[in-house]
Amino acid sequence: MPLVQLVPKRDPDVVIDRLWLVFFGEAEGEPWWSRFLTPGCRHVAACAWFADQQRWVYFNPTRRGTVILLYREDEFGGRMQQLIDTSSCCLRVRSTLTRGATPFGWWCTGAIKALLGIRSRALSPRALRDHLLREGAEIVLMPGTDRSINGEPVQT
Amino acid sequence: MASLFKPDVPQQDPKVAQQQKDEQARAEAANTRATQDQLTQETLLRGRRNGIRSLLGSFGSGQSLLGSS
Repeated sequence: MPLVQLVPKRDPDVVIDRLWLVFFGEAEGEPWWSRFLTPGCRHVAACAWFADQQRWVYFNPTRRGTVILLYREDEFGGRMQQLIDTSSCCLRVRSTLTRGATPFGWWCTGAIKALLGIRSRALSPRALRDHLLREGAEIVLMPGTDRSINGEPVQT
Repeated sequence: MASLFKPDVPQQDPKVAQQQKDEQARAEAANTRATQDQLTQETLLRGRRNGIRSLLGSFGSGQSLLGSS
């Protein structure tokens, strides 16, 4: 028997706040500028589950161009595993779209600031990570914290 | 980050698979909340435009639509 969902449909043209997983890690390859950035915080990418469309959206602003990929739930496993394995930190952030202008910076930090719609002076992934933590981002994965990858307290 | 277009790891750890499911559930809940907020906002706006206020006298004329002068 088919299930009937009694949730009214919203206007798909209206942008809503979303939960994004923001991953911090190493830059692809070893570009010359990466030595000026904090190890483990040289690149930032993000993904989110779009519930209405039943798709994972992966957003990766790279030097070669911005990569946006869509995955079904069953296809996303490999990408999620890769992101978890190669990231030094993962934060759960709600996008707010509160900016008044496009952010300065054409590199990954500016692209993620624009994606999340946050106001921040951060110019590097490390500064963005610190800003998001100050603003109350939830830690999904971060070495040195007392939480495991699943958010449970680590047994010591 | 490793490969841009094809993840290096075809297999997924059960813990990460669970993590993915949890994140989806969170996103679904957030989406439902945002939808509710949006619909509430739309209802309020519609109420303001077409609702009781207009009956009690508006349309810019100061005249009530209930009949009293």
